[in-house]
Amino acid sequence: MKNDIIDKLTSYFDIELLLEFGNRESDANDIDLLIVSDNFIGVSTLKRKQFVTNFDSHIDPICLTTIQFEHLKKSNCTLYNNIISNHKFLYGNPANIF
Amino acid sequence: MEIQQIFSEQISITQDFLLDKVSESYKNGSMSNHNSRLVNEGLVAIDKILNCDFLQPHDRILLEKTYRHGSDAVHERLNYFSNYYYSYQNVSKGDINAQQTAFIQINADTATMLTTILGFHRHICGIGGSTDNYYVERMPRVLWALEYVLKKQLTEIYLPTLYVLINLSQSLTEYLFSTDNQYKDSAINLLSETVNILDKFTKSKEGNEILTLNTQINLFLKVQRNRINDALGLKNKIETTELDKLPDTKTEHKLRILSSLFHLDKVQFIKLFESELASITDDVYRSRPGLNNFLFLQCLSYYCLLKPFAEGLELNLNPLSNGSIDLIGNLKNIFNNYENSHGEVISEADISLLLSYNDEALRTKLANTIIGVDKGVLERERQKPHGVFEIADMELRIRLNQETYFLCMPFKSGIEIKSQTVPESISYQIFRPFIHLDKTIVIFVTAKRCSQNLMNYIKRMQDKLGWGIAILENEELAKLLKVNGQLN
Repeated sequence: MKNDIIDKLTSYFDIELLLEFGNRESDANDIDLLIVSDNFIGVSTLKRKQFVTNFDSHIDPICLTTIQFEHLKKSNCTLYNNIISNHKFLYGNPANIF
Repeated sequence: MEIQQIFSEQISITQDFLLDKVSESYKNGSMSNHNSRLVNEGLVAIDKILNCDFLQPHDRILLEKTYRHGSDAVHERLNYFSNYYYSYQNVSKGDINAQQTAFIQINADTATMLTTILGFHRHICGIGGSTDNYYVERMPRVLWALEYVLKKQLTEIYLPTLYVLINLSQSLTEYLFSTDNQYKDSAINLLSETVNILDKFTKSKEGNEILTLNTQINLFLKVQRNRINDALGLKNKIETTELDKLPDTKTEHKLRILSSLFHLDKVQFIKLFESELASITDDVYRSRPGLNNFLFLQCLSYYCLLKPFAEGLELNLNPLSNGSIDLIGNLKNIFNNYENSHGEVISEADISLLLSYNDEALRTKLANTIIGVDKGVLERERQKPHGVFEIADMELRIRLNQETYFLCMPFKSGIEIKSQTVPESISYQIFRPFIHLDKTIVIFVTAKRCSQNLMNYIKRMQDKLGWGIAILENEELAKLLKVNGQLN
């Protein structure tokens, strides 16, 4: 994960938590990112993704507000477990992950 | 009651219902399969309304925004298509109740993918990403489950199995009709496999009996057979129907039969819909808002598509606004020297120069006057490619009055607009950012003047819906560029 992508994302969004997850091999096609930010409040899923992929088209983001991320944690669903089981912390408060 | 009034009221009821369910799901952090099914049916109804040409641009925007809210809410609960993943296990190991539940869950996920694809056709939703990948990756497990039902001759669940198969084929054909190519090969293989299993069911004695006795599923299958043939390029005979009257059944079934009939025989659809309209209207209005409203609305949309209203129709929709902002008063906080620009003197040569700029030149020059936005972000927005999914030429995040807004700027250069003034017909492009962004302001930048009709329409929407829209046009735009040394 290139540092300039993290810099660009963190300078554009007020990010609470930024995690890379999934396949993190150097030859992986996509960069799976979880981005938690309240800047996503009132923004459609399509537009959230566009805002992020405008920085780098290889990013495959899951963009959540803090409330949505809290709900995801409580649900303990496959998506959350997939993220947590294989993630790399990039930015924000690591205490918010669990 | 006039059909126009019924149509308008049913749209409002559907919008209210969807927004209630969406807000409930965000509050609870989850949505049940039952509610997901209802929301998806409501979204399909809205998709059908959006086919009607007589909608006003602002109503179209509000309906598309409602669609976006509903679609985002149901898509969020997909959870990597885990209902597909566990389907074989649930059907092969479970009792009849577990099997029925598995089918409900599968149908809920399939319906969500269908509405995502329909939203993609309209540039409201995107397709792709890890969740959508699982739609095709995990569907084989559903097909194993359905093969299991056939192999074990679980005839008591043949009817729901048939619905699962037809629903799968419906979502796959819709995908194949879309412009997305990510899953095309997989979707063709999955559809072929689905049709194989479907054929085995319909050729069985019990499957054939269901189709003979149940008009609703019979017509639904016929419609899908025709769609499958189109999607796979098969030259099979076109399915038709000789239905001359609706069976004596409950309203929900009548409406589903009518929806299918629209695709198979439009003349007969009009005849039967008109003959049943009074009784259906009566039943729908006596019941609590829900599924029948959405099915009724689908039929009303089909009817209005075939018999459009003579005059335009203005709906009374929820504006979905978060209050308004004094945008004109804030232009000085967005553009450098905005207040001083009023004193600039503009010559005919200045206006001619402005009118000679193409879109790219106009974007570059105006970008150079914007303050409070990172130069790198401005540069990226100025240069970004303009696909069908872009909602405005430039989209920036700015802070005004201690609040963050998305500033969207559609541009119209003098070269692009061929008429003397900007016509009202481009209003949809100005309003489009409101679909995707709740807290947005729009500044329409145009080298030519707006027509009086366009100005009046925008003003009316500012008052009626609280939309924050400002216009930088012609002389005012020339002054702003000139005071910033950009008119050269």
